[in-house]
Amino acid sequence: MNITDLRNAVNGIDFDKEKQEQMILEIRAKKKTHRYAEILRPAAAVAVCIVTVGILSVPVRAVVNSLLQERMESLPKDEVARITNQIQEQQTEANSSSREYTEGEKERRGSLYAKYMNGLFPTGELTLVDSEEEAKEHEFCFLTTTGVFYLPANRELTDEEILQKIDFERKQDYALQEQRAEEIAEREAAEKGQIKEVVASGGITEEQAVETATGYLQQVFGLDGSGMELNHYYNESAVEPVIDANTYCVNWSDYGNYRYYYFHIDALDGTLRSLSYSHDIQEAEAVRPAVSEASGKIANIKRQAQDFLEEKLKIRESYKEVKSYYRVNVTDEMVSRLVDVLFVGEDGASYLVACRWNGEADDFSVTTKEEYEERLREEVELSIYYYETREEREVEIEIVEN
Amino acid sequence: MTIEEAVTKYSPMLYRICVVMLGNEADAQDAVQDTICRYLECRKEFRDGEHEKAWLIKVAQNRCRDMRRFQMRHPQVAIDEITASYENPEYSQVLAELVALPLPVKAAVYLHYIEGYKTAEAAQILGISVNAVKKRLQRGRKLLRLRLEEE
Repeated sequence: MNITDLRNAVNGIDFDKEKQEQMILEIRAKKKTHRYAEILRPAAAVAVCIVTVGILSVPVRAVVNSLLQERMESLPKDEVARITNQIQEQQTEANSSSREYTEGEKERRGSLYAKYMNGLFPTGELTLVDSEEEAKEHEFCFLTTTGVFYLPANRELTDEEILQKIDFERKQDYALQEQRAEEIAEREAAEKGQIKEVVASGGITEEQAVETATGYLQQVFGLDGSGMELNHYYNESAVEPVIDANTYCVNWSDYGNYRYYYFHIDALDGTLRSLSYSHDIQEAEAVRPAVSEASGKIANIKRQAQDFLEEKLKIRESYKEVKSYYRVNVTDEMVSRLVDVLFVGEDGASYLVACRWNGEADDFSVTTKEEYEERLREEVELSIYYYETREEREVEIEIVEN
Repeated sequence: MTIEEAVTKYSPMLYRICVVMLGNEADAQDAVQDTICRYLECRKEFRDGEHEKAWLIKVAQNRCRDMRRFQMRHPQVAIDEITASYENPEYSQVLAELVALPLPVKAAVYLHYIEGYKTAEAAQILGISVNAVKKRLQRGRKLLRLRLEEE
């Protein structure tokens, strides 16, 4: 054979328009799933993918303590570049750990993270290695090629080691943010223009949205945001998903305890459009029932959802109907980690409360029955896609309504 | 760049590489999708179009290498489906021989003879020395019984 034969043989491999269109849909679905996964149904439980969050969403300038900001800004430029290169060269999408945290470590991490956010920094630096052989020589280190934190096998991490890990992850986030500094600045400038128009037409400012959200954080969760990272930005009308359009997103991240609180405040009238609370999915998994037990729990879940509306959100209205929805695989497998309870008003405007199977509310949003049911059908398709691609099995999903 | 623009511009080129590297359509599509997602998410600054293309090829190659390590779903080469539409049946045989090459050799052969990269450029993409590229090309030519002139 000759080179021409080789080239002709390869050039005959066709990736036609139909396949390209299918790929576009799948990439969009992957991105949408990730977005929902971050905000509504967290996909990672044990190792928080802080770096993944930095990559998948367009970062915003977080409001952090000035000591922490100063620490990040004092990083030499070549150090920032080195960290960025390491993340890009890393052969995995996100950091992970060689073992799970113990309960003691989880508890200490929670309080240490809050202290770190307020200026308690490690005295030393995390050991970085670039081969598995080298990783074996250290009790605690980070393998740069795979993004794995090697934790001590026979003891708990010390406070200093936990702080070193937190500090390293923050530096990774900062490096990614700096890499996209120009994009962030452009986006912020565009947002300022959009917000000006919103306010000129009678809407609220970003500061007012933060104030409203802070009130809800206290009212619903009993928190004042201290020790957590605050982010806020404006979602214009063209944003996806559509329910977020023309809102301010105000969110708090409690990295130490893997808890995230998101509020979307309507930019025009300042009302709460949605809230969601993301946390360790193992908590939700632990209370997921068998299909045969599910229907017996619905009455209680509906009651608790209504209590949530009335007591936490101060929404007291009468409804045309109250419906619950969850998904099962026809092979008798429970698919839904949460139950959606839809409160449908006389005029069609509805409130959606998503509850864990023990009745605790995780998400709230303002919607309509039509909008919700269409979104549910899309979620069913995404679930089927997830099972087929990630778990490599075919499923037939049914929606159970009560 | 939007998802549509990235897929339209790069997927055919990446797909050809990934089919040759992985030997089947399904895995190749996964690898292409992962590569384009990484491209869209990283939003790296490129010097020019060639730099961008080389970066994409490198990411795709890395992805194919990782997938080959864990390849379980499609152990058999499924080139027949891809080459079923070829007008010249000899090209099916040529492609099958190319796909059957060891991965490191295949990568060097593809970059040099198909994409036209010089050995120094291929070395940079693959992250190996120029000599290593030349040795892999030599082995590839022997295995493919290529009648070629040296660069």
